[in-house]
Amino acid sequence: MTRWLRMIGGLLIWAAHFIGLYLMSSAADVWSSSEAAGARWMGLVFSLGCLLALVAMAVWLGRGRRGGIGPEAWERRVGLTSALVAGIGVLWQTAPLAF
Amino acid sequence: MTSETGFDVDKYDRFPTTEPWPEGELEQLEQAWCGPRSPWEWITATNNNIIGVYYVGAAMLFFVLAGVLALLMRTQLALPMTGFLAQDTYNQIFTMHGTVMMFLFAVPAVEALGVLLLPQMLGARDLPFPRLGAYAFWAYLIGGLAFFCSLFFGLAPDGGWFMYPPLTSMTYSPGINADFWLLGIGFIEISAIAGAIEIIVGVLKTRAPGMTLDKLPVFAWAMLIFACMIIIAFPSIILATLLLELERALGWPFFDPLKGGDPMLWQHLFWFFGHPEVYIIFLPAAGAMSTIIPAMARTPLVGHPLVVMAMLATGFISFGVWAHHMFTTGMPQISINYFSAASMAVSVPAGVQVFAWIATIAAGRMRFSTPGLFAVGGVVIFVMGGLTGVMVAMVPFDWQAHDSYFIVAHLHYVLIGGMVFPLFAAIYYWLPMSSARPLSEPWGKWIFWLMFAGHNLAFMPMHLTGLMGMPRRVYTYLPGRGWDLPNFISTIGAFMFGLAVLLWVIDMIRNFRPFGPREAGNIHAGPGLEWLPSGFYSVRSIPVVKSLYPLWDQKGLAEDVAAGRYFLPGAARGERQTLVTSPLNAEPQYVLRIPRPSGWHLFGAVFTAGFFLILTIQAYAAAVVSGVLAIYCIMRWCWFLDAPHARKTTEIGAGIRVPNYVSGPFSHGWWAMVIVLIVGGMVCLLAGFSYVFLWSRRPDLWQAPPPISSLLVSVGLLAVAGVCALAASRAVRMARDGAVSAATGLLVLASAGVIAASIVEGRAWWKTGLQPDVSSQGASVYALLSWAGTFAAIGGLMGLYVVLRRLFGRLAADRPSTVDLISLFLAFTAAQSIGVILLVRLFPGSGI
Amino acid sequence: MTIETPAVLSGWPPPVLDPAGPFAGPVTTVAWVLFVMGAVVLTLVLIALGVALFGPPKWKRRVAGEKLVWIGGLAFPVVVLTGLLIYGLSVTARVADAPRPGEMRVRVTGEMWWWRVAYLDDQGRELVQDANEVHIPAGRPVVLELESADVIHSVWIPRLGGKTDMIPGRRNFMRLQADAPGVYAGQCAEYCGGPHALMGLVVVAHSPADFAAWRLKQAAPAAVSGLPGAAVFTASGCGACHTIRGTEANGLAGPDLTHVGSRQTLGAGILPNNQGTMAGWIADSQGIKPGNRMPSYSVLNGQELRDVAAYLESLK
Repeated sequence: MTRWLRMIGGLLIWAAHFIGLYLMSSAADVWSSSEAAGARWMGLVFSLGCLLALVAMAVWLGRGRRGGIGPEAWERRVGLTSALVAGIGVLWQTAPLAF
Repeated sequence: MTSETGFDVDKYDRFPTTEPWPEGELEQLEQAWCGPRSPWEWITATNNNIIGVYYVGAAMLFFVLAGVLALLMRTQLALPMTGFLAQDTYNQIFTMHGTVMMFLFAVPAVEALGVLLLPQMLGARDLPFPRLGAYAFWAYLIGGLAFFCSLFFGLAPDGGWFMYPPLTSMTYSPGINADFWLLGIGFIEISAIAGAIEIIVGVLKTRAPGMTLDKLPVFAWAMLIFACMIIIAFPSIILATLLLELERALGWPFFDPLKGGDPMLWQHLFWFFGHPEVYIIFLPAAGAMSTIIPAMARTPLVGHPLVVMAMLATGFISFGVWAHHMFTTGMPQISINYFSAASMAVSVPAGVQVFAWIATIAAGRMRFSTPGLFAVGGVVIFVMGGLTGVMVAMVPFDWQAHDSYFIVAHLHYVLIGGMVFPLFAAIYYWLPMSSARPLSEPWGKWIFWLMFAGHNLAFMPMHLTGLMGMPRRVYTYLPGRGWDLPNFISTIGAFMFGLAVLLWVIDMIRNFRPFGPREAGNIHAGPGLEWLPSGFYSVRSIPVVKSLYPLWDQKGLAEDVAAGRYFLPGAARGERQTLVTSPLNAEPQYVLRIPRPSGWHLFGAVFTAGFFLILTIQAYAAAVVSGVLAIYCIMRWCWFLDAPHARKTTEIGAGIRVPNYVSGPFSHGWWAMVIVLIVGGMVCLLAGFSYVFLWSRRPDLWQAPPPISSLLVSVGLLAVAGVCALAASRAVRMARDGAVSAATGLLVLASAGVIAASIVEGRAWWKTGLQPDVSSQGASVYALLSWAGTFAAIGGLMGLYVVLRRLFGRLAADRPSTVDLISLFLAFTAAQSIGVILLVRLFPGSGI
Repeated sequence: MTIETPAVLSGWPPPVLDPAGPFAGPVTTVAWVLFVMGAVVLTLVLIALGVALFGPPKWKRRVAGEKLVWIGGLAFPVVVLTGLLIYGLSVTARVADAPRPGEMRVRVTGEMWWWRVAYLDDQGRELVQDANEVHIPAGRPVVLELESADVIHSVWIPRLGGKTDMIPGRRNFMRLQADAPGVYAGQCAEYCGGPHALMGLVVVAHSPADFAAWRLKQAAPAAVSGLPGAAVFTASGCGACHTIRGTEANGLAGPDLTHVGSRQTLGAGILPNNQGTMAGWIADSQGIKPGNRMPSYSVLNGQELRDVAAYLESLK
């Protein structure tokens, strides 16, 4: 279980970020407007949280045996790089809050 | 490396073994796995080496058929106002072109590649559920052919392949054409999900020992991700087609704005499936590229962990972009921008893979045989399509390009470059594995260049026509707008492409010789296990894998495997067997007995397809008969499951013994059931989303739920049912007299409980006066209750089944799998029903 | 009859690249930026591929490592796409402003397979009905309120901006502005069944003075006509589907014909507007636009057709 989580943990955080933003803006639309300042700040705080989670993920992954070979080291590489791509996605998805 | 199961990996050093194996072992293996000897055996075969060939063949047949439709379309559009096709004929043809290509060719083709290649690539003898795979194939073939024939009766759907309501509602599509699509897609959905189950369990549980995740072939990674995406994405289209059919047949207003529905709901549900669908189609092809390019360049894949990461990232991020098909619908700006950002993000992993391929080519010595040509050609076309994809990910540009021929150009570049060309590369590369003769190299080069040139000639001008204002899905256009010349050029290109495919078909007839005594073999010197010498039994013995490129790195592997010096070199007790290993480290866990073919899965497929098709033509009595027969056949097929074993363990090689039977979370059956429940749960989740969505559009229509007393009754019944179901699993394992009967009784109670709760809840809502065909609340509440109720009804069938097995003595305390799986199903059903009831009762609360 | 294409539908230069207003101009710039980006990236990829396939060993070694994957597959795209995303978000914000109070509003309702147009007053009440043409004053933004009477349609006038869908049960807003007077063509861009291919739309932009004059003329009912065609019109029951204000004809199923003679096109943007095409349309609309909701009036003889066409053309 932990090994799978290592490999796709970053992407799970990306998914949570996307779903969270989408649900928040949909809910905001029903109650007032997704463009409203309050909704935007909520989104920003949430995004920051997800970014921190990704950083934590990367730290957890990096803490393994350095420069190893073998399956677990390979899985960590996959996990770290996927967390990087997830981070790029989270950053880009945060940008709309500023427009 | 820490062991995953407690297996001592030092035991691998005992292989390859050196003792001579018993006499007649190979003959016993060949006998157990003998090929079909009569026409009946040919059509009831379940061996993946046979079904895989049928499957690829069927997919290519639909490719050719849908391609002919494209040529008809291009003939019509070659000149303005040709009148070659009548307007409604054209509208049916373009709808069928898209539908057949996406549902009957693209997904089945890559699934077929998986069926054919995965077991051998993983060192397994067959897929873990061969009859399920065969069932999926026959349902697809029969249903698909019947669906295609609707064209000849003028009954083909004509609403476009995404069938937006209200155009496809009863009001504006009164004929059964739309129903053909909705119900026709039904068996495709079943087929895809069945295939996904096989592939997930196959890739994770039936690998050769030692094949840790870092040594898992990239194509297998791709297929694993593909299958996981199917189980998350297909529920959306399952739900959408169910809802639209309910609206058309019974008037339940999900999409009809006059009664509170919203056409946008369809778009959300369709595209939540539809966008991942195209990545479902692309990933296996990309996996094939990541396999073929290293083989053709004779060097390992550069950036292997990055490539696997890229496929995982694509799998996830592709679920976050669906509304980029809806940028022009007036959705709020900020939501649209999220989708734009995610659409940019999804292109990053694709770029990673492309550069990995280029780096691999540079690191090796690329051979320009046909597979290499198709691979490189595919990269070029795919990159071009990906670039126009980035363009339309930008919202303002998409507002111009959407629904114009620019999009037609984009989608064909990514699909043909990202899937069709890799598919042809795969066919040329892997065909020698199944055929006595490879395809002709000189012909292959002509076919490639014709296809490459034809594609670009056909689709490049469409970027321009889109910018010139030509919308999609037009059966003709007016002259003098400047659209004439680009369209004419496109038509020429299309016919060149068609000629290439025709040449390929002819070459297949000339050279493809499957099921013979020998194959052409590893003519490209590929590195994967699929190139080990094989027969109908796939590999003679299951090797210990030490590298991602076993045939390049492990000296003498082919010889040792063929001589039976690894795992499972025989067929103990004349049974067909393969090895089940752990998901992460591939440590041996148990032996999976693969069933011999019988007819029930075939009949089940015929009656399943029959059910959907007869329902479409509204012969309801006959449809019910077909449905009942399908259920009977499936239950008869299940009857053979969970049979006793003569021995408790088998020696799999070098003195290592593993069990023949495992129950609980390690067993393949458990995994299959869990996957089915994930699919069911996703449909329910999306149905819940639909309910909330419709409420948010028309909160004024919502009336109060039934009084709280009935809620307590239903939830109480369900809680008891769930507890009974879970208790049955514990009960059956107790070493006491009557344990099995107790378990059976508990399951019967559980199934009775879920059915009773459904009835109570349905009646409670009916008493409030809520009707399903009057308001969107009614429609969505009764839809959710019906979904839960269907599971309850299936639970009832399972209760009946377990009673029958008990009566016939086919349940035992040491074989608890049947009880386990049914208990899982019933517990899930109870939980799902509780979730549904709480949602519709408590949200948005009474009296709002 | 052979179809003669209205001159306004010319496709060259490509309308998406030939903007005529502030909601299209920035998008065209985006388009060019994207095309240049695409060409540059494709060239770079082809060069890398070419080197990988055919290059000398020293060059191939440069391209052969994981570094290429990191730079070409991650670093470079991330930089470019970040820039594009920011650019795209800012252009979106610019061209997609919500309607402002005081802007002129026109309600356009998509029908199968034509457009119902209604000019609204400040309170949103319909002042004047028309069909298949939208007249706007040049140099000012106009808000189109987009609805649908049946299925999903989409308004797309490429020289003036991107498209917006008309979804039954919803009202979408589209701001449009033409910088200069002129005629701008468009077409329905969401498949709506049947003759979707022949559902065109025309936007006519006037100078402010001309627009005021046009408004007055449009609001006026049709003058009483002594032409023989008027009688043919009444006798054939055309008033059951069509409205001609000032006469008894008050049907709402089809386009308003009060000033049909002054329209640029007929049949929803697909035929030039003259007596010949008018007669041809009435006689055989099903042959020209199969499936459209108006039956072909083949019962009328040649003289009657000429008379009714002359009458309708007189309704300027």
